[in-house]
Amino acid sequence: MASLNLRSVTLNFPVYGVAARQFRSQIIKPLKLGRSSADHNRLLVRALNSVTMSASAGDRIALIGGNGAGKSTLLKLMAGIYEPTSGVIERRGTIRTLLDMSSGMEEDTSGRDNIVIRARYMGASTKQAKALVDEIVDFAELGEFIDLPIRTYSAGMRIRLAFSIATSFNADVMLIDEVLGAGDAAFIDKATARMTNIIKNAGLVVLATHALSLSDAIAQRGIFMKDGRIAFDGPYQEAVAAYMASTHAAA
Amino acid sequence: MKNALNTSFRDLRESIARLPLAFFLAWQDIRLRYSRSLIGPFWVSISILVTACALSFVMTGLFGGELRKALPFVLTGIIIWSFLSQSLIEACTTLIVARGHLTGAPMPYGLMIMSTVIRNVIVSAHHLFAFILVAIFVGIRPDWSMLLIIPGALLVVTAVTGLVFAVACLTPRFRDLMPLITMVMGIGALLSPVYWRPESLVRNRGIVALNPITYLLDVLRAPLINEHTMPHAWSAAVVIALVCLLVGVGTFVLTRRRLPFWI
Repeated sequence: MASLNLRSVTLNFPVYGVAARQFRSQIIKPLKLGRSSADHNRLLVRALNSVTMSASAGDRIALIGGNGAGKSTLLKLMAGIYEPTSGVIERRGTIRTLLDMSSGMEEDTSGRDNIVIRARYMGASTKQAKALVDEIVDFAELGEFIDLPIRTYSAGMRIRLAFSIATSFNADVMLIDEVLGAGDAAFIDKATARMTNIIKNAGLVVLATHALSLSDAIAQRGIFMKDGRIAFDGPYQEAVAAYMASTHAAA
Repeated sequence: MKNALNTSFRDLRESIARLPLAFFLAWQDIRLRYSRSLIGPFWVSISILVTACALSFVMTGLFGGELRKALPFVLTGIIIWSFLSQSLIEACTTLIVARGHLTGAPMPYGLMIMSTVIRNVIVSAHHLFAFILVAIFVGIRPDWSMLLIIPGALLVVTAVTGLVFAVACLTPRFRDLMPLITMVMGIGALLSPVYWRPESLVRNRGIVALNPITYLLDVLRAPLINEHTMPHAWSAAVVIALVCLLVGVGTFVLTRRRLPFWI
């Protein structure tokens, strides 16, 4: 059964200056006694601050909040891409992400090969991956472009291909970052339908957004994040109201 | 520490469970790299062969000895050494290049690192064609003792895997390690008995005896060219392979939880 359990999870992001990334300046550091010993050239950014929440199958959660509130970081932490600095996280069920979909595409490889490679990364066998090709080409409306290298594609074609691959698999836990950025109007309609379908089939869904259009349709629970903390966790409409109130108060 | 062990061993378990994917990626890389040239990888084999011929010509001139003894020695030396140095140089960028795959979805890091080793094993194994040509030419007779190349190759691959793990995990943090490693590989090729025979050293024998590369080279090369290994070569190679593996796994355990922030 799908579930996510976070107990006082804190995540510090190390940010390094140029010197801290150099092996040679690290080995001579002890020699520079006394001089600016406080300057470690390394900064810790607290991206998440003791976040506690749990979600189980059936939950449709929208993560709401401004830029830099920690929404994407929280999603990556739930996915297991990041591990927390402190606190405990338990994940149950197969997890899939729709985060930065266009990353991980091979520029010099054809669309067809990219489908197979991405599908293999996502856990399909080569045979299963090849069986997916026709359906994906059809959905992404790529036609004969599918046998050309990705670098010849337009921005819209890329996002259509990436989206079509990433949404070809179902999962118990679906973690989604606001993704429907590019593509023409007709494709966005199609994509929204496909996305809604995936969300229906998944056990547990967390969707980070500040556009609120897709989340309005699917979310019943809302988590409003602010400065790396959960500011509100409850019914979706109330979370949106809390978010709106805080943006208006700031303005 | 407990968290570090949990995360890294879960990663390694998953990497091993998904080893077919590592093979697929290695193969895909090789296909991509050579797709534009018709003779592709054989071009590299030919250039290795030419280098080996030139070097054995110089080495026999310097130290004496027969060319037909020197050529297979130098050729196998270059093949094994370039497996080691190429793996380590590619390890510097393994995780950084794979960034797109590692930050978009949960993916075991060990798998990417193993894929680098597998890719280099395939490339090196295929250079054996050049060796077989030379072996026929100089008349190396097949012998049962040649089966020792299997444990020999296992030891070399184990040692290199350990080192590749260590390098791949440290270079994302310290970005200036790559030129350092490239330089060390250049010097290492001269300091280790890759082109010259250990017994031809007149003084400074320590650079052979204390050099771990000597033993790793020996346990794979000697059975290939049908010669006897040096005394204690096998036991030394076993110890070296285990130490390298331990260093690699240790580095992985210590860095794994921070790697996502470094790449």
